[in-house]
Amino acid sequence: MKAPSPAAFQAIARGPVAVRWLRQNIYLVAGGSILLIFVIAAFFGEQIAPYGADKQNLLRALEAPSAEHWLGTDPLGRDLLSRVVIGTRHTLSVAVISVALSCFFGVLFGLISGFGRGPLVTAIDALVDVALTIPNMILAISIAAVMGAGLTGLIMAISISFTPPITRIVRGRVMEIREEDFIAAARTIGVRRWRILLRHVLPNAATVIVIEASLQAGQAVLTATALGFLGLGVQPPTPEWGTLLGSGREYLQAAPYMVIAPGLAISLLVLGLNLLGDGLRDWLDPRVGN
Amino acid sequence: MPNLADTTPVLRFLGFRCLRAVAIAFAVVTIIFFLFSMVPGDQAAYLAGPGSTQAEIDKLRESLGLNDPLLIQYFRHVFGLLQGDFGTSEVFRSDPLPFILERIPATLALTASAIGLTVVIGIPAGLISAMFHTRAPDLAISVSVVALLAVPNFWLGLILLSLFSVQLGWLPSFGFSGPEALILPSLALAARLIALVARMTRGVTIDELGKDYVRTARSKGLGRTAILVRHVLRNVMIPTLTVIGLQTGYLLGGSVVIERLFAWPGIGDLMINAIGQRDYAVAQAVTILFVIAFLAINLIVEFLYVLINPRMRTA
Repeated sequence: MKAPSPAAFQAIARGPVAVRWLRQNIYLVAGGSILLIFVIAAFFGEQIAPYGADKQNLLRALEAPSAEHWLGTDPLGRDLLSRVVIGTRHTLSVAVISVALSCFFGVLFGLISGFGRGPLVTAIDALVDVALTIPNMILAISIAAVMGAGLTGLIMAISISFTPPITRIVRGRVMEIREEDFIAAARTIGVRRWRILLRHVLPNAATVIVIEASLQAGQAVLTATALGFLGLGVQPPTPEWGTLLGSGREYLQAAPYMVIAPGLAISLLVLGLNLLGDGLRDWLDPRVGN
Repeated sequence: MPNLADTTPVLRFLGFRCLRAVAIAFAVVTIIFFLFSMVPGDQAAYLAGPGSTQAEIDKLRESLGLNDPLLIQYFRHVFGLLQGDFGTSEVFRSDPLPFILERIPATLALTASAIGLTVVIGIPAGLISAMFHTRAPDLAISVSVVALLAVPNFWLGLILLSLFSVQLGWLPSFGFSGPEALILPSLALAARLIALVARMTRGVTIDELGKDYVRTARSKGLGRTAILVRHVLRNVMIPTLTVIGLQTGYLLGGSVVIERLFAWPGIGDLMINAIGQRDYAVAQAVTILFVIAFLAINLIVEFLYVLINPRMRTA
């Protein structure tokens, strides 16, 4: 992200505190707003969408965008706008569940590996080392292939392939915190190790974890939709965005508009998550902006 | 040229990295083997096809060695790999290696031209952005970077395909028919990397332009472009190379999706076909090849570091 110019600093310095905060954290606000729209669509998809996701009308199949069907219809005459809006839930929930799982395990392994000693730590470090040399997408594809196409396989594929990078980042942060004076102080007065980990190390690593989670969520959306596109994700007729693009590809000649909306939706969601991650980093951890 | 006395520790370092890569490759082979051994269902029954008798299935299972303990199967797999035996493809009914080898050039061409595009577009874009810091070109490039990082590569590919092949008919829509067929898939694959390299180049260049040696060069009367090309670019290359090296994993993974989209006859397309046909020997072999390629490229990047950065030679 670009550093504000001197003029921008002056502009920031003016105005009430709330306005100043908004201006300073424009990425955070923009990313958060975009994400909020998708969260609303995920919860109230059926209420927002003009038609049902699976409501077929074969008389109106493959229609170009019109006043009735803003984004046109698919080969079964289903309204594309409705399918994209209702599909938000599937893409977003896969991303959120997968990132939550990989964060849980990444944080657990990262804390152990950064703070502990012994064979368990060596094993975790070696496993992470090896896992990081398998290209993320290849690992995800292999896991999805073994688990079989479907929601569970998809979530397993993404959460397993995203755990090693998170473990690595948490480990790095924990190893920094470990050297701080307050940890030595806690040790000196005899605080137990797990208590130091949970009460002193974890809260100090929280910033890094939150930032990393939001940036990884964007990547998770990209991976999940790519797997859907390859036919390894959520299966049709579920209107998951990657799956929608996969079926749109077959009608590129007859109905090029079929691929516009799902792709735009993915891009916007990833943009929102990336901006949120960058904004969180600027807000919570001003030292590391680039 | 560095003198010979300096090179010994570097050679030792590089030798150590090579050994480490071999150890990691071995570990990956192990992980991938046990991962694929978890495939649910009876592989022999699937391969024998519908309508085959239990005796036929049992015979097939025995001949595939699926009755042996997993550990025995694992050692057989590893020894096979060491001899260049990638198992038996159930679809080709033979050694899959020739089928994989004949598809490697297409993947190589795709990823190499994606890296080429990244260097040719990404680095100049970053330099221009830095030279016009906070002015219009910088803003335009920075906004494009943010946008490109959010766009899925396969959607970009779909849009390019729809526009330039289906609508305008300028470029072929699938297959490896000639050099012009490379343009759309490699552009779709490179887009994210171009954005990352442009952003990295911009940041590093802005930092470098503020340093003393740039002021010295200016005070001796060197022009802006000469400083940029002769002095700054050298320092910018190191982090840029790092980004490209780290992102090769993305390129290889992305190539699977892009090959599928453009029906590109590479090993990524082969992998997805194999998964669709439950031909796990091939899927496993391709996965291992991808990892070996990734390890090899990272080793090359480390060698390049030593070449570009004189400080590393005495490390």
